[in-house]
Amino acid sequence: MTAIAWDETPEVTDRRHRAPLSRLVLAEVRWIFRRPRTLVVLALLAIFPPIIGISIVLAGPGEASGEAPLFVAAATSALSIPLGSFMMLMSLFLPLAVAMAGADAIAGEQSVGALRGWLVAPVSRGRLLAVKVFGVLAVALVAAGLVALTGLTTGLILNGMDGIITLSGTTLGFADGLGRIGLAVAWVTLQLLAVGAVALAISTTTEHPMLVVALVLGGLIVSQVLSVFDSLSWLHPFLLPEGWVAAMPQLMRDPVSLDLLGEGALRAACYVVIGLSLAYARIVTRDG
Amino acid sequence: MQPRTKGLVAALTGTALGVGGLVMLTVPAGADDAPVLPEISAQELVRTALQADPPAFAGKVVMQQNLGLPVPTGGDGSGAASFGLGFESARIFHDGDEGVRIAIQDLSAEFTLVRNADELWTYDSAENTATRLDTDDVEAAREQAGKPGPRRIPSRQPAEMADPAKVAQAIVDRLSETSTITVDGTAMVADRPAYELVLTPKPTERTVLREVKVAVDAETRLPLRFEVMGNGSTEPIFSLGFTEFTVGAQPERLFEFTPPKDAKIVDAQKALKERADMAPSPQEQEAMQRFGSALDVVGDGWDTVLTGKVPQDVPAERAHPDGESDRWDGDAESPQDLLDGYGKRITGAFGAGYVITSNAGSALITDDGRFAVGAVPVQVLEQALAK
Amino acid sequence: MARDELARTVPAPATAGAGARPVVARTKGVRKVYRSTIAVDGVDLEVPEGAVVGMLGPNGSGKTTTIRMLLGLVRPTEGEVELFGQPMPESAESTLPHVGALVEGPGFHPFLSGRDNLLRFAAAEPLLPSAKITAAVTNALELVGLTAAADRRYRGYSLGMKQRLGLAAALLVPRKLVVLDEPTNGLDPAGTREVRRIIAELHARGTTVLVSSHLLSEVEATCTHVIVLSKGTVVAQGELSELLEAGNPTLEVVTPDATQAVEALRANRIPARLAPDGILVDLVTTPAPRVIETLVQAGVSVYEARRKRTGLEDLFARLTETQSDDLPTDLHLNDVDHVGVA
Repeated sequence: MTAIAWDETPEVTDRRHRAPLSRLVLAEVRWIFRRPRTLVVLALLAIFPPIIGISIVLAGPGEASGEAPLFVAAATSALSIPLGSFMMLMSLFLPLAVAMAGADAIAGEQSVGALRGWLVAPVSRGRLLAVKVFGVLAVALVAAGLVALTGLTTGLILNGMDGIITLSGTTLGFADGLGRIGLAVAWVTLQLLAVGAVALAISTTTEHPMLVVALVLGGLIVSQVLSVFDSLSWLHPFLLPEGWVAAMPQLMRDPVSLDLLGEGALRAACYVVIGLSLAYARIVTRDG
Repeated sequence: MQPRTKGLVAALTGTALGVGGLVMLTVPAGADDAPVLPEISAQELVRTALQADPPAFAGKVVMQQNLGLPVPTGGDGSGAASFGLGFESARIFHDGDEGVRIAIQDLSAEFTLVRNADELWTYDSAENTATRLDTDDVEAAREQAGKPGPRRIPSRQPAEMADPAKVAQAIVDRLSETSTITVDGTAMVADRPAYELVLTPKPTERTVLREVKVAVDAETRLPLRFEVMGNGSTEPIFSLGFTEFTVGAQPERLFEFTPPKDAKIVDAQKALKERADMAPSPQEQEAMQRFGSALDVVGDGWDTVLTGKVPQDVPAERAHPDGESDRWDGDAESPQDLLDGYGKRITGAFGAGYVITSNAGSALITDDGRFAVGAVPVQVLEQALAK
Repeated sequence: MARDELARTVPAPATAGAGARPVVARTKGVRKVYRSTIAVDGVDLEVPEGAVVGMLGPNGSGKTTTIRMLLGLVRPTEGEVELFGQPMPESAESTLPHVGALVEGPGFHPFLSGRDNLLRFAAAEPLLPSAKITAAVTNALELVGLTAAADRRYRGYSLGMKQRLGLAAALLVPRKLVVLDEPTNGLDPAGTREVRRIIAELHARGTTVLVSSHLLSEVEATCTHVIVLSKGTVVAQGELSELLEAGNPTLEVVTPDATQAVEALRANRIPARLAPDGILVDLVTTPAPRVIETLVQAGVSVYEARRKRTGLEDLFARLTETQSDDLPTDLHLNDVDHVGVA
């Protein structure tokens, strides 16, 4: 133990001081990707596509039909494993990853009392939310990127560099294929950000991260159930997961069919706006 | 501003924007107000439509049906596939000349047809099978095999096109015998202004249909949408039309096709030839002929009824087996079960049988194997069979 | 560290009134209502510059809520809060960088090491240049004696280590004001001494310290000023020495010969009166040894003699005893344990 080794204490003025936003974001990202739970979920996401690839090799070509999973219906294309993995993982596992990130970001920090540390630093409420949004975005991007990376690698190993084949029967060059996977990653990231925005909004209202995860996943499952009923078709365009399954194969058509993707992106953007505005409204009025 | 006010403003603005965006998504394309277009007569519209030369375009066609059949449709619930119509949506690309690409989309598969001046390819992604034909052989093969060939755009027959005005006149005259044919306003179809050509049955026509509408693009005069309307509903019974239609040059590569590696390539020339060479067996021919000769058309116009006799190997009732094994074996439901389950038993001057009704018409099948089908009420079928 | 520079900020002698010095933190008529519960009601308080102010009160008296309002974490329902003369929470970005705080116990992430937790907090400190973050964290860890455990996960820390890490976070940057909410909670006697040393050192540097506690002894040991809170209101505030001396000093003598004792003292012009276990003697005019001497000379057997609590002690004892339930306020002074002996 030593004596206090401070430099000269600066005088108080009415000048506002803020820590650089980049430093906050960096600290946030460092914190997120050191959380064991986050790492486990990301690792599971990353090994999903290779597992699918191995299954295809072991099981041989499956019963081909238009309604089969993408990597069965188009087993000979290197694109089918990354895009098919997205189709399957979007139904639960990818949203789980961002819901957890959104839950930990505010409710989780609040529950261990660490949020106060930043609030008295001080980090203003608006900046705090911005940093948290960056963090959730980082998780979404890394999760989607990992699936795409291991998926495309698996697909290329199984089908060769000349195996980037579309559902329309055309063969794409590597750059074109990479571009499509990039588009898929961007689109999936946006959808996940929408999930994360809702999670953040709920996260600002509670101290129980598990409650946030449960509500977000519960909402997704209810949405997916509702989208099954034709009689509720008027409601379907309001449901975030609408089109999650159908969108990915659009990237495997030649030319790319953008209408479903565009509609899904707009829907996700609406959810982001709603989620973040509610989260902001709550975080600026909440007691720290 | 107080944080409470600031928060409230943010919440209200953001939610309003977001919900507004979502509501925008629910508004179906082409639901805009009817565009204002110059007046045009029905005959002129038909003439110009016949004369129209499709430009290069890209479009998306969507089919919807609300036939209201009592029979459950296929497992996917979409219905369309179960009735052999084969698709719900398709993308069409046309280079304004010979080149056509049609992509019929399934959830995770696609059936693609590419046609250019020299060759015609089809590719089925689910089977990873490509089939090739010489364009010149398509027509011949179609004749030879006696089977409809792959889908293709309506080809312009030079002979018919000799005098479009005359042809249009003939068509309009023919239709006017049973229908009122009008240009009934305008509509936005696939974001394009279009005329609505409407065929309404004359009051004497006994039909369950209210009208048939064809939306004709004001600029290109291409038919953009076809709708069949039934009585008592504002929703079409059947609709097939473009939801997207963009005129403009298309990339040339869309009208070329190189099968992907590992794809199974079928030589359609050979297959068709083999098929044509393989003459049907005498029994088959006889059965076909008998079936064909048993078919009869009763009435004309909207209340046309098709009558006939069910071929012998599809027994209408178990009491009438004709020695052949039941070819429906393995299936849980026999035709009899289906009729019991979904048909309604009726008796009349024609005898006794089952009737199945839908939004688009009805079908009657009697115990002794006669049947009648038409876009008409049941009484009309009964009368047709009683004749 | 240039210690000689500190001389200029050493506080003025205690004789100066609280009002005479610049005020670092102030609340005016502050009231905070959570749904239907009134946590703080009409609190006016002042924290003079350079002082070590003890905020004393039983649990639930509104100490933490008041501190949270001072730090802008909570917006008061009514009233005004000022830090360095600027309104809170509006001026948080100009005032809070100069304030170090440990509120409501340490709040850290269990899966990070102590050092990583501090690095995360240091990143948010506006007055800390990025280049100096690592050094500041190392210094803070050393200051609280956590250097050896710095790279262990926070999960495995003892309660005392957690508390020290919280203290380290408050001391990452040179501060004008350090706010410590129950800093000795969970600390062993050595740890408590360590905290007192740090507070004393801050005081010596001229840093204003606001420390809350539910223990009078804690406040007595470290503070120059005291604010006593009870049920959300300020019941006393001022310099410690003044408050401790308030009220007439009285000596309580336990004796079986009470009547005889009173007579003996009155004969010597010492004011005294009967009490249940003995007598009470006013010490305004007479020192305690003289009282005892008089009694012994008069042949009175003295079992025990103790100095009765001063105003602050008495007040605080009453608060502590009434906190848990709704006891009547007219307490009997002799029902309570004694705190100090004369």
